[in-house]
Amino acid sequence: MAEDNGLSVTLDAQAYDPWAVHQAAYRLSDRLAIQVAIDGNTIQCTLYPVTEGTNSHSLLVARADFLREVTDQMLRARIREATEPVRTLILAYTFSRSGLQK
Amino acid sequence: MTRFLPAEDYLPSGRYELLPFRFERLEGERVLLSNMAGEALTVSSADLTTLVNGDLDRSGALFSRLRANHFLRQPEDRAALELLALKLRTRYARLRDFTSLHLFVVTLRCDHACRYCQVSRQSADRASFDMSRATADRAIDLLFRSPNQALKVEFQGGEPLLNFDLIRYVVLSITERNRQHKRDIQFVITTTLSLISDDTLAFCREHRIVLSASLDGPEDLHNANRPRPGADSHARFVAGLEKARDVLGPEAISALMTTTAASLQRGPGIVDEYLRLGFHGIFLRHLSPYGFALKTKSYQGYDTARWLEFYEETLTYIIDLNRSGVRFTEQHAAIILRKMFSCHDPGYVDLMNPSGAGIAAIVFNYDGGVFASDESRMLMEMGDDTFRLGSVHEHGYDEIFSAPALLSALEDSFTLSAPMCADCACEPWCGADPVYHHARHGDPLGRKAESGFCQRMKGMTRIFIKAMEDPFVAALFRRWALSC
Amino acid sequence: MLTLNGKALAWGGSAERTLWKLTSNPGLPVVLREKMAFLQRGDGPLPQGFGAYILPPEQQGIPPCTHWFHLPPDFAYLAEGDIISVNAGRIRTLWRQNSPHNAVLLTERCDNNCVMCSQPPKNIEDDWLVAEAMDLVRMIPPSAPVLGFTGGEPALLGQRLIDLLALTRARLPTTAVHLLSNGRGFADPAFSDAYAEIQHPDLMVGIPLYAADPAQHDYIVQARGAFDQTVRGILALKERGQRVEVRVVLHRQTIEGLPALAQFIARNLQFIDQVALMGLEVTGFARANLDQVWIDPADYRPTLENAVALLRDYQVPVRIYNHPLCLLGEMAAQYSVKSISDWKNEYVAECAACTRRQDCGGFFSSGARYRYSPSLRPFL
Repeated sequence: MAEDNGLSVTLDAQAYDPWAVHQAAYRLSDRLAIQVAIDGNTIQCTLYPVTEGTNSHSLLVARADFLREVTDQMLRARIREATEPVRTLILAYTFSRSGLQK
Repeated sequence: MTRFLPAEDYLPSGRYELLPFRFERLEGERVLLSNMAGEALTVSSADLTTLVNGDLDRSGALFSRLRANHFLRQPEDRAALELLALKLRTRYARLRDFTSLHLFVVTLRCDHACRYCQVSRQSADRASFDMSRATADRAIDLLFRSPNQALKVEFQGGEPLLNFDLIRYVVLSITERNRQHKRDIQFVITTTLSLISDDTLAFCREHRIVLSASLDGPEDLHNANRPRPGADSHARFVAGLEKARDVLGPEAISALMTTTAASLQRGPGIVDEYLRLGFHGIFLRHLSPYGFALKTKSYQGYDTARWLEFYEETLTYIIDLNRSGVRFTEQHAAIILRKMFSCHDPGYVDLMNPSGAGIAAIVFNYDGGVFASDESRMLMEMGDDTFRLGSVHEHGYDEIFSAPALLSALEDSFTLSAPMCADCACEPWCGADPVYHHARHGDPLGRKAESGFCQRMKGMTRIFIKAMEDPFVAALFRRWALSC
Repeated sequence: MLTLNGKALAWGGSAERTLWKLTSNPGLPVVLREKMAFLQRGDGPLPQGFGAYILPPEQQGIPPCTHWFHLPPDFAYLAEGDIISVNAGRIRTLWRQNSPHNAVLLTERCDNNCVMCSQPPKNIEDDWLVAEAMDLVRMIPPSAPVLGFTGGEPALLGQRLIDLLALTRARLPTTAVHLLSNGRGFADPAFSDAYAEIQHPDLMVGIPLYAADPAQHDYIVQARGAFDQTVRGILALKERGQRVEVRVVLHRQTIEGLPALAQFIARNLQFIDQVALMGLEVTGFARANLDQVWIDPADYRPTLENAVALLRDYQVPVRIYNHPLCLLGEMAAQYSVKSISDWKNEYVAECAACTRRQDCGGFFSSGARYRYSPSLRPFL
């Protein structure tokens, strides 16, 4: 635990994308306020509880949730990257042709 | 003699490609996937990983399911791209039609003093709180500026029947002017039915006006929510209902409920009351935040979670009614399910993206003020006029429909560019609600993680997906979705 | 089962391929007789001046310098207005005036090779078929309500198919035309443009789609890439405002995927004009591959009902053709159409007592001969 009651999580900047970390933080913002700092090869995250009466156990649960969420955001980024070209192609088709829609 | 090759020879080879999709985790290691057209599948968490890693077994059932449903394709699958494009175009086709619903707030006067209402006035002062003909005329001018072939005119209040003369004037005026425009126009009056008279009903029959009334539940609940002199709102509703049905036919009167904290305990009882009074469906509405002062976050969260419990319990009750052979629809589900089962938008203003504000609906207030939605009007009664787009007396069509308040609300709330929404599997079935989020969080986008709207939508979708594991419910939901 | 192709017992005259319209009217105006064949019934004297004569075997006195034929008893059904094609003693009945099910074969070539094909493809040069079809169209009475074109794969004829359809539009402007095709040729925009330009007032093309999974469809039609082309062909046709029916033959390889296919059609092809679910015809390749395709319809009843219910909910029109009524169940029976071409139709002994034969979608004689469901039950 950090001094100011925040829980620290250190992520390898090679393995994790800061964008994914921010997205995860946003998703959990009803429960956690997360401070993100980039420090060379690491991404330093400090998790602060939002609701009062959060004990250290629930903070550990929150950390698990946060890590899982970060992993999911990485997965989303991967899917997005892999499908970006075909998405553009489909949208081009969508707005270019006519006839089937009356 | 021809040689026939076995099925294995037609399995694809080489790498497959992912098609755009989004995912949300459900309980128990299940994951919800939705594709670009809003079609959904559930898979296991392990399958999702295998899928994204490119390791899915080409001969397996999951691969063929994902390929047929446009979650992945082989490079040679060109039809998939054309089909997705077509489905997307269908999803957004409604935008072209533009504003359909036009609300006319003909008076703020009301014989009821419902506890959750923000707008009504207990007053006999017609001049201050009734819409004038001059205002109506200008509003009708704007109505006919809409490019939509199908127009819906809804009379709101207060109690609109207290200014029936103006309703009559507007209906006749629109009908007359429509001889030239030739639109399909439908008229609706929202009313408590407490003041319905034979003359009013005769007029409604002549002009095919339908009625939308309020029924909060059994008598004690309804009357507690909706006090009026004589404490007889429910009884008057029932009497008015039968009278109206005799003249207009049962299909012409629908009922809407408002959900209060007291309702949350009474779900099945409320449904029973609707059933008893001959209705074939109910719209289980969420708690509206506008009737209450803005609460703390925790209260809001409690509200949504508690409402979802009420919703699931009541929906289960309704499903069981159907199981026993009674046809009864939950209309809130039907609207969302329609978006899940097809690419055709049900046109429910509160669940549209881009937001239905302005695009699908517009409100003309009694004094000529123009609002992006009914909620916008209520917000103003609470002191916030952010979504007042102008006045029929001062502004023309272009100024109103390109008012900065409207445009920025539409743009800022657009879900496909909103954080969390852009990634959310439920986005195709959801909507932007800039007015709610503005009221709740101070900006049209809101903070989705804390948004009661978001929690409700995700909660409801989860309830539906779980329920549809039962094939009876899946078929039932499909019928609801496609007949709404 | 009617014999449509056969050989004359004896014949005389030119060996050239010729089409003849038949009449039994001895008082036909003389100027009209040259182009027609007289169908002799009974013992009366032969009227003079007809182009050809169809005679009973015991006929005395054959008029000189004409075509004449003694036909086997199989052809006793021939009647007024029917049109036959004769070629060196080979007889083919092309048009039966009394039948609502006339279908004209345009080619036996095909670029698919379906495992259950009832008309197995032949890779031969048979352009004479479409030429003959053009002649036939010129002879069919304009009052004919409906005409079918089939194959093989008619789209392989390219421009000649377009020409035939244009001719049909001109010569038979009020006749409804039903074309069968695998749809693949229509994926070529130039071809579907030409097809649309015909602007036929009542033309529908029936296109088979056997699965939502491209691999399964390609296997059933034995052609890689067929699904993709077929779907693109359907889209091209609908984009050009043409009427399209999706056909599905019900057999063991299509049944399991039928609800998924119904779902695919509902979500992707909702604008289709009709879905036709077809009973299996146990002939041709279906007979050769019986072990792969046979399934007792009684076993697939719930699956069929699920698929039909889904399409009904999505308001896609559904019809069930060529299917015994007793095997359908009440729900699906509403969608059944009495439809087997009368020349292929028969019933088996179990059907003798049935009170609903006139409503029944029927029975292929091939089924009667080779395999049919043990679950047949007459309605009593």
